[in-house]
Formats: sequence, structure tokens, C-alpha cells
Amino acid sequence: MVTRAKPRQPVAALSPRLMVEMRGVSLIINGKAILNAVDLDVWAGQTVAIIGPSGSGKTTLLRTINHLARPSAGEIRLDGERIDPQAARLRAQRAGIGMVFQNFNLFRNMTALENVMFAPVATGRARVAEAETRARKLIARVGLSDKCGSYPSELSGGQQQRIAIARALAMEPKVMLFDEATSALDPEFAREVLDVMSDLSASGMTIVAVTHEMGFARKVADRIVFMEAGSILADGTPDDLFSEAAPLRVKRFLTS
Amino acid sequence: MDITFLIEHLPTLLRATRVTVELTVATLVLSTLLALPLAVIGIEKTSGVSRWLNVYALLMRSVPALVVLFFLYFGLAEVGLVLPAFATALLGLTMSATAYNLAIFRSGLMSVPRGQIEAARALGIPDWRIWTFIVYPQAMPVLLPIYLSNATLVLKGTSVASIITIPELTATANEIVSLTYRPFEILLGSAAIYVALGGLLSLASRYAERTWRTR
Repeated sequence: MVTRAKPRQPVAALSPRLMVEMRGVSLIINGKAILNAVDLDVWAGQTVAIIGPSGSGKTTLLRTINHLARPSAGEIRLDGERIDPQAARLRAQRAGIGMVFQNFNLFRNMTALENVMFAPVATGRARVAEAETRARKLIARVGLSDKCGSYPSELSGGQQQRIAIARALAMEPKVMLFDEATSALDPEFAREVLDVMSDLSASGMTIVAVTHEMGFARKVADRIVFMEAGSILADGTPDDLFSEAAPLRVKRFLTS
Repeated sequence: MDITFLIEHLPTLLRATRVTVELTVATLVLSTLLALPLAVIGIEKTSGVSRWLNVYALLMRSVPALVVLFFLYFGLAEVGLVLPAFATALLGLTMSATAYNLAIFRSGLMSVPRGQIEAARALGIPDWRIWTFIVYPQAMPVLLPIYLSNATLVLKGTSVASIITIPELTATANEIVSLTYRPFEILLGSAAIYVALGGLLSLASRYAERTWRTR
């Protein structure tokens, strides 16, 4: 049983604009289908939470969006433009997709400031001075102005993840992908990161977040996508999925 | 020990030292320039090319440099390919040193957490910048001590070039000995020169370790 909710009209835009469009996306590894012809539309300004049991393909789905995992079949469009596996064009498109990882993955040989300003400079998008000004603003936005000169090893997990968010934002992405961004964090640090994510969502950023934080999915997300065995089993508003009318499988997952 | 005898022949030894240094530096520069990009292949995913590189590194590290030089100098001449002695020595030593550097650089690169490469890819950063500014700088503390100790082996290894008539330090020392029948001073003198050059490398090593200390 599949619930298909109509995309909610985003607050920010009057005419809905498709930011991420996935059509029949499959990923087969050694004969096993990790993703099974998935269709997913994400509208500009929407925050979509992807939930589901481990091994259901949530993370893989997210990683196909910027081709960190290359789909075996199907088509993915970012803001109407098809993701092109040709190296130079793929790099240009990836620049428009911010990604935040479970393990932060900050560049450990660079300070927080350098982490945030590196990509715009290295991709030729900004000059050093300009990149630095912007990086400082972004670091202030995640509340870590006093940590600009600190190396990742000198930051807590929560601080590292907030810097990682600033680093992704520095490329002025059209969409932000969060891959279990709080799973490696203590509850207290997870809260800091979730607050930043909520602020981003409120500011109109398009967000796709794989998450185990049901509180976030319920309160912040406009939409929840439930995955199982490489397919989308349910897709609806938090009210739909947390209601009595939700599919049995979803209810069982949410109450377990 | 006759110091005046040694001093008399010192200019000849020092001229030969220049050849040794030139051969060492040229071998190090070439093998490093070759191994730096080649070591990157296969770090993320093994491929046909990376498997061949592994076979090459394994073979070249198993065969003595002496045999490689003999093969290049005499073996190839048999099939009509004659290279100048210095070029042959440089080629043979570089082939061997590249194999070692490949293995050394690989071990350094493997020590850097893979997630950072992925994060950089996701940001749209070109590959060569990822390796140059993110991965190699972090691999340095791991690979530099091994690299520099291997450089000492390259320095000493240039002595095998003596067997294909390169007038480097060992060949020249041997020649003086065979003319004067006084091995003691000359061999001690050339050993001292090798020690001094090796000392320079170990100084470089200490300086490098301080510069690239892990954070």
C-alpha cells in the first residue's frame, strides 16, 4: 500500500518548482537491487525527511542524487537539469548540491575557516578574500565565530557538523542533503545540529534529510518518505504518517 | 692512516661525488614525479591499471637494481638498443625507485580517511586539487619518514651504476684503489662522503617531520 501525498505548496515560492526529480532510479550491486525504480519529487523550499529501517536504501537514495552512488538505471534532475555523469559537468552540478555526512568528513589539515572557504576557491567560484568574508558569515550563522581558527580535531562532534553545514552552504547550493547528520552525535550535540537544520528549513532551503530523528521528521519536515527494501512505501505529510490512517508497516516502524 | 694521501686524492673523489649526487637527485626527482600521480590510482577502487601497477611494484622491488642495470645495458644492446651509460643508469635506478615510492605513497594515502575525498567530490572540487590540497598533505606525516629513509637507499644504490662505467663515487674510489693498491684511506674517505650525504638527508627528514607534524 502506497500513500502518495500531493506536494504541499512551499511557503517561499508561489509557483512550485521541482528541485529534485527522480524517475525510475535503480541501483543494482552484485545482482541485488539496493534501489528499486524509485520516483521522488522534491519541490523548492520543501524539507523532506527520509525514514525507514536500516538497509532500506535511504542513504543510497540520497547519494544517487549527486551521483556519489551512480544509479544503474533511471534519471535524476536538479532544478530541471539532468545530472550528467561526464566529469566536468558532474562537478558543476555537484557544486549546486550541498551534502552533510554522518561522520562530518571535514578536511583535517584545514582550520574551520579554511574548510568553509576551500571549495569556492578551489572550484574558481570566488577569490580568496571574497570566500573568506562569506565563510566568516556562514560560520557566524552556525554560531561558531570563535572557532574559525580551530582544526577539526579541536572541535566537538556537534561543532564539526555545524562547520560541515557551513562548508556545504558556502557553495550556495540549490538543495541540501543530510545523511544521518546527527547519528554519530550525543543527544546534546545532536540538538545543536538539528537547530541549525531547522533554521535552514525555515529560511526556505530545499532539504532532503535521511534521519532517525523522528522529532525532526515530525516537527520540521513538510513531508516524510518511508523506505523499505529499496522502494518508497509511503510518502506524505507528517500528520499523514503519524496518524492512525498510516500504512500498518509505517505505524509498526514508528512505534518500535 | 695517511691523511696526506687521502687529501691528495680528495679532489678526484669530490668530482665523483658530484656524479653520485646528480644521479641521486635525478633519480629521486623522476621517481617522485612519476610515483605521486601513479600512487593515487587504485586508492579508492582497484582497477585494471592499479593491478598492473601493483605487479610492477612487486616485480621491481624483487629484482636487484644491479640485474636491472645489466639487463638495460647489456641485454638491450643485444637486440640493438644502445643507450648512453648515464641514461641507462638513470632509467634503471628510476624504474626501481618508482616501485618503492609507489608503495610508500600508497601506504600514506591509505591512511587518510576516505570520507574526506567523498566530501570534496560532493563539493565539486576537481580531483587533482583533492589529492594535492587535502589527501597528500595529510598523508605526509605517514609517508615522509619512510620516503626519506628510502632516499638514503637510493643514494647508496647509485653505487651499482659503477658496474656500467658511470664514474660515480664508488667506481672512482675503486679505480684509485686499483691504481695505488691502498684501499684503506680511499674507501674510508668515500664512506665518509656517503655518511655526510646521508646525514644531509636525515637532517631533511627531521626538518620535514617537524613541518608536517600531525594535528
